[in-house]
Amino acid sequence: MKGRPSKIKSEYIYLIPALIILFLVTIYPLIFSLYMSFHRFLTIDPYNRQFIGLDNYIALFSNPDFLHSFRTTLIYVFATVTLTFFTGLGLALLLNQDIKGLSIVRPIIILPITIAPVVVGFAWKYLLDRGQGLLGAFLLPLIGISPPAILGDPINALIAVILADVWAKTPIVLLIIIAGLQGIPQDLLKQARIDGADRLMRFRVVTLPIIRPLILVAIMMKFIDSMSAFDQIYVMTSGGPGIATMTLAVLGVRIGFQFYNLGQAVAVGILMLIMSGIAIALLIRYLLGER
Amino acid sequence: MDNSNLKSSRRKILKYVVGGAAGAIIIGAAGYLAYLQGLLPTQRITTIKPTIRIISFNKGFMWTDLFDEKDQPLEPLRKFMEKEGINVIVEFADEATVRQKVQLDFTSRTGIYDITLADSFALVPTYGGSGFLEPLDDYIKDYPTEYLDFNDILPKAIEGVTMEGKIYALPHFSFAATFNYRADLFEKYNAPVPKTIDEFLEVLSILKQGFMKDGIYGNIYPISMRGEPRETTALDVMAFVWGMGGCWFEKMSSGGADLCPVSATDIITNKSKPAFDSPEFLEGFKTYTDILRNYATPETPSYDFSKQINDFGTGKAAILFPQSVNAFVAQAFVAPPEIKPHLKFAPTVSGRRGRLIQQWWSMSFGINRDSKNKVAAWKVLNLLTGKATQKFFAINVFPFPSLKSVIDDPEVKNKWVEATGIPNIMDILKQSLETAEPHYVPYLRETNLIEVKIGQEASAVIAGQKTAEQAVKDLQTFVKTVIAGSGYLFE
Amino acid sequence: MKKLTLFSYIIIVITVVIYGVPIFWIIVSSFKPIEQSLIGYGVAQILFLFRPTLDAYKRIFFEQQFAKYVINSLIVSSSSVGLSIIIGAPAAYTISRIKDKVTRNASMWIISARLMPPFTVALPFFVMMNSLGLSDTVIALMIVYLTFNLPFIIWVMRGYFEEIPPEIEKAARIDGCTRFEALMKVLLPLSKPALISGGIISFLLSWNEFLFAFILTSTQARTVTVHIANAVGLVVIDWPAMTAMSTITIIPSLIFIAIAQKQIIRGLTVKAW
Repeated sequence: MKGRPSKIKSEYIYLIPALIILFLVTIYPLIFSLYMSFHRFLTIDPYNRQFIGLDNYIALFSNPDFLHSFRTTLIYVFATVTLTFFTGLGLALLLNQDIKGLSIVRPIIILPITIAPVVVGFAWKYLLDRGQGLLGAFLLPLIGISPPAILGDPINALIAVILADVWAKTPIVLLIIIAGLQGIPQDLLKQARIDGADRLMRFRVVTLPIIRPLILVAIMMKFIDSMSAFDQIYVMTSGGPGIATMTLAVLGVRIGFQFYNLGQAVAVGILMLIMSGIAIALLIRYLLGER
Repeated sequence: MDNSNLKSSRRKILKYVVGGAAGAIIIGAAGYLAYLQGLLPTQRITTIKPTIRIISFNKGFMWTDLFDEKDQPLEPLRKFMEKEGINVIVEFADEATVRQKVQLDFTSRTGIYDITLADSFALVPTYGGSGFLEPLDDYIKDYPTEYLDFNDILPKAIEGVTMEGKIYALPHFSFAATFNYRADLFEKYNAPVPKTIDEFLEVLSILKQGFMKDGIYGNIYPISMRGEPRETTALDVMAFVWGMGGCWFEKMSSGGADLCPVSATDIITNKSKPAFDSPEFLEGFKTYTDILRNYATPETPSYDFSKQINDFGTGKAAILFPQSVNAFVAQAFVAPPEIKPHLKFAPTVSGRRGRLIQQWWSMSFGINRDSKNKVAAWKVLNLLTGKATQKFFAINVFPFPSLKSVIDDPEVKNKWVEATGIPNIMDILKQSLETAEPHYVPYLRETNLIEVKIGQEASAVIAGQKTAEQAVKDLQTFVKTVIAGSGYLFE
Repeated sequence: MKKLTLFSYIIIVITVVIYGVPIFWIIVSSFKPIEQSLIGYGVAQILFLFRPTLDAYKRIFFEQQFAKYVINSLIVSSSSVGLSIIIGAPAAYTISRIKDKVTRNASMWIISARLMPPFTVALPFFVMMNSLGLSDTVIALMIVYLTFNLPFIIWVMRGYFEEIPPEIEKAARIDGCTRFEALMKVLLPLSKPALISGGIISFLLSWNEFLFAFILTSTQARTVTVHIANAVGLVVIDWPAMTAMSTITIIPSLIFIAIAQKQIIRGLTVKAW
């Protein structure tokens, strides 16, 4: 679409406001944060802010808690992203049909987005309690789930935290994909059906390519959301038992605000940024291979 | 051709004009809305100066005699404001929020909050040690107020807000440790009310056997304590550690008595090394975690105060230990009529080496060193922790005051004797406050960090992720790293 | 009207139960007295055998501050979403239609803007807003939320635009529209499902955002989410108040979503090509 040079420039104008805003509000914090991460920045020691180079990062890598958080985050992010994606996709396909009951079902499933993560976290914390919780003490045992401890057990707590997140965030993925499904030309589907394609093939050949960009959006959104997830996890388990559910985000807040080491906390953030950048670059290349 | 061009350009102009007008109207409406909400920056001017900003938790709990539900001043506060010529604004939030905002305020030295929460256990050491709080000794001397008589404050409460000989906050309410139990179950299983730690452990065993024999173990546990990986758990762990004779740092060699260093000065004078992996510390720490692993619900690592209170109050635990305030809330507010009369309080048990298994926590408040109106803030602080407000709180919320006159007040006593059905409740609470040792943790600026780590490690041990021996070793390593630059690390 | 397979039917029932039970419990909790709200003697007692009370709602409503926080949340969320759409749609258009180095870099930039973990930028933003004199204003929040919503809206719109064949625009341009008009009159209406979904999601995410809301606001610009966290007390958790506040936002959202559903469904019947 290359016309006269001046034509191209005029389109770029549409980009400028967005870029300026994002530039301003990301460049400054980024530089500030990088700067902080190279300093010994303790809230409780305000007069001793010295430049220490990479010491914060080195301290992190020799801290077993950090390495454990790193592993926990990988598990958490991978599990939540894949589970929300597949559940969201599956439900979107199911609920996208023009069947009567569904217009009542859809709002119910979308509702969790309207509930604050703090409330969701507390809800699950008390619902799953093995002593007094509606689910943990009464309903789950009915279907055979009655371990000695749910949130008190390191592995079960991680599972619970993952599932609670999937519960709360699937509606978002659902909405994004449904929006995409709406844009599929019915003629293409009809033609495919006439040509003898079964459901699965229709999905692979017609639907999937069209909604691919939105799938990417959904996955990226969920990835970032999972990386930075804090409120819901902290309210449910405080990062525990011990450090079993302490993702990097929770660790960062703990280091910064409970261990009063803002320099190291920001270093955690920078490392998370690098992780996210790499992961997203890989995701884009993998999912948008043709581009 | 020309005609349609003209029409279309005229239409375009019309569109822009209409669009612009609509935009202007929307912006104007939004602006007016903002003005109504008092959101515009120019509307912050107040008529009375100076303005003192308070930040605390939490609304509907603190100072309901001074602020209404809209955070506006009530009569007593309004009188104060007029008399002293000070404007008072309060901001309520939950504890985590308050902590973080105060920290940001201190770190950026913005001086937004004049009076901040500074509890005795975590923030007096932290903020006091970091130099964020204004020492109050001079104000006590030079600016006495009619709202608070300094000599009326319980001596232990003053100790709790003192660090390196300076006072950094004024206490509002305080609580210590009591032994809280289900009297009917103790009778049923022939368990005596324990006076020592060994009797305590034996009682736990008796109850557990009894519950198991009756097949109800699992629906009810002998004890309910906290195990979440936070500093709140450290409050309880340290009760045991200190009570069994442990210290954070090697004991003071001079003076002969069994004293722990409680300040940086003590550590330096005594050249005390960190003693987190010492046998005494380990014994106390392990006692705590063993009790929870053997006699409490496996969900304990997720237990916060709310779950603990609910369990004790609804018959899922026979003992709640050691917080007096949590047991009190369970008894007075949560327990249904069939359980309530059986919930009783007793003095806490003794540990080793002449110590008690005890704890101390004060909801106290300090003045920001960067406050621009410290004298005014001091006066407000007196009002906030003064007799009138403490008495109101003791009668309307719960009776854990820091003032002698309030704890002895007959009105307070009558209210709660009736509400709990326990004739000597105030004596028990008073005794717990008088026999406490607020400096059962040393007051350093790293105190809070260490407390958080203790909570984290205890939680991990209770959940079976590591042994107590490993946990205290990790604690020792952690502390050494944390105090490395502070000048009191001796090896 | 198609019929559901048995399999689909079972899945839907299970899903409704998984979502319905916790939500029902949340709503029901708002009608309980505080001391009873987190106790459980049995399923019946938890879900319906209790004496309902409107105390929690009274507590909230007679604090007129709640209305103020709702208004704050509304202002911040809707304006940041609105601004994101106004600024983002044209940007998405450019990125989707022109594929050269410039736009690809811009794309990368927009994505990376979203990658910063919130707590890392908390302190810088706090300092920045304070020095700009914007502490405790809705404007500060609007700007910060722009950084979340803008990339998201751009992505969603771009993904949708890319699926619309360029021939449609070409047709409009031949009819005399400028590129801008082509965007406004042709592409945007076609992208209604994406706009609406993207808009709703951005709105709800902004509404529920917590970290920046509490860091950048104090008493004046506080939002509902921050206020909800305030219900966690020292010796008691005011769960009924938290759930009452949530229930109050659930009801208009339900209506909102039900209406928006109709809009989205209508898209099914609009044949564009």
